[in-house]
Amino acid sequence: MQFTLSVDRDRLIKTVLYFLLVTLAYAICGTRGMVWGPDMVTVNPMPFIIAAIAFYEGPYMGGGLGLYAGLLLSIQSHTHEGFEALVLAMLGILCGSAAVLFMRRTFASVMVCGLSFMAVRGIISSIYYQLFYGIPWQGIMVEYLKITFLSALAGALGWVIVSNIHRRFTPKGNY
Amino acid sequence: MKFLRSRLFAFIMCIVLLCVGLMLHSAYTGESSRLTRLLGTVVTPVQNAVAGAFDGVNGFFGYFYRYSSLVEENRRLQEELAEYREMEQKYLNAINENTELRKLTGLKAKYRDFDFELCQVASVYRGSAQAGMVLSKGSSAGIEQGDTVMTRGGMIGYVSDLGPGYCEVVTVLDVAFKAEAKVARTRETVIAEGDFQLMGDGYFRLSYLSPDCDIQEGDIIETSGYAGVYPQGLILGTVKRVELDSSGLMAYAVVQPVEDISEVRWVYAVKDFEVVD
Repeated sequence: MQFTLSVDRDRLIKTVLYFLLVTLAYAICGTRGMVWGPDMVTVNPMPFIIAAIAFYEGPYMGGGLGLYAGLLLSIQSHTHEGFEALVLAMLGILCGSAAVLFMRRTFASVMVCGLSFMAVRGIISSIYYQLFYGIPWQGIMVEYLKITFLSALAGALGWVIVSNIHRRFTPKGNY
Repeated sequence: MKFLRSRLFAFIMCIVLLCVGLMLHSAYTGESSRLTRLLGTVVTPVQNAVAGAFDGVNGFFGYFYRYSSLVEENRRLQEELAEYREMEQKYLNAINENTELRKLTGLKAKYRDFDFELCQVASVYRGSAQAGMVLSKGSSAGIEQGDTVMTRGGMIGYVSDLGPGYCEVVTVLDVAFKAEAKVARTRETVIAEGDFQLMGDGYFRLSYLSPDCDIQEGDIIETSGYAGVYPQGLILGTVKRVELDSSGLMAYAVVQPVEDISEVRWVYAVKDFEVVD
């Protein structure tokens, strides 16, 4: 009984910490003065953080936090509300249910999933801006490459934090 | 088939239905849902706190690495101030003459009255073709969708969406920004809009100019006030250069905004205005 209560308490603490991590990542990356790079873009480590959480905690935690992260991102961008939440939730679910069957829970796997998501997201953005604003898709893709590179660096830090939270609050037999 | 009856499939369907519902609500009403507004109201103070901490650190270290650029900027501003003092006397004479002529002809006096709400910039966003910011106040302070956002220098954007404790701003650099404007010197009407190519340099453009238009470097661009969407006479920026577009048939002007959008800390949301010109 005590062991079960301890596992539930640890799971609760992990969930709270992951929520705080996602919230802080959103707050820090959007802060004035945190726009990076020669063209001053805002980094987006959310795909990497959500992929890492999904790999370690499964599709439900990954999907739920992906939904939360997407809703946060829609506050500061004028993409249609719900779109970011849907794609990030699907990322979390896919990583947590399918990817874990074929990939090990390592840094490289998280980065591959995060980069794949950013590539797909970049293609969608390119098509959208080409269709509705007449902006050449090549320009959008180049811009997205810059965002992806910088976001991957921030996402790597996110993976370190997630893996440490998981290691700290998961019983040794359940890694 | 087993997957369709599983808990995971039910979870996926719940998320899809929720997100599609949010998208339809956003597309139909043009506003965020209560869920997003609640999240924004809760998270914006966190962003404010992070921004405040960052400002503190930046201010401390900025004293060391920004000293020479501040000295240079100070010298440049003093030269500009001296020029403006020379022009001030001419402007005062012109204003007095204008006032007397208005009295003589019975015209109403020029009058501008704004109802401002001072807001802190909680976050700045630069995406693939977006340039926006989130402010620390929202509908509970009387701000509404479409309200003009400005600094002491002039207009920098408008409110695109809001919740009780926050509002999203589309800035002049964003590709979605479009406003009717005037060249202060010639009173020519132009269209000011964001441009993807110029966004990275921090500029926007005036479009649909004729190749022989009378616009030159240094011209002030201000809001026209037509249709009453934005107050008349707010400065949008200064012309940097005029170029021909790729077709060679039309020209466009590259305009520098009144402020560096990424450095702005405090702005005014114009809740109501009255301009008599």
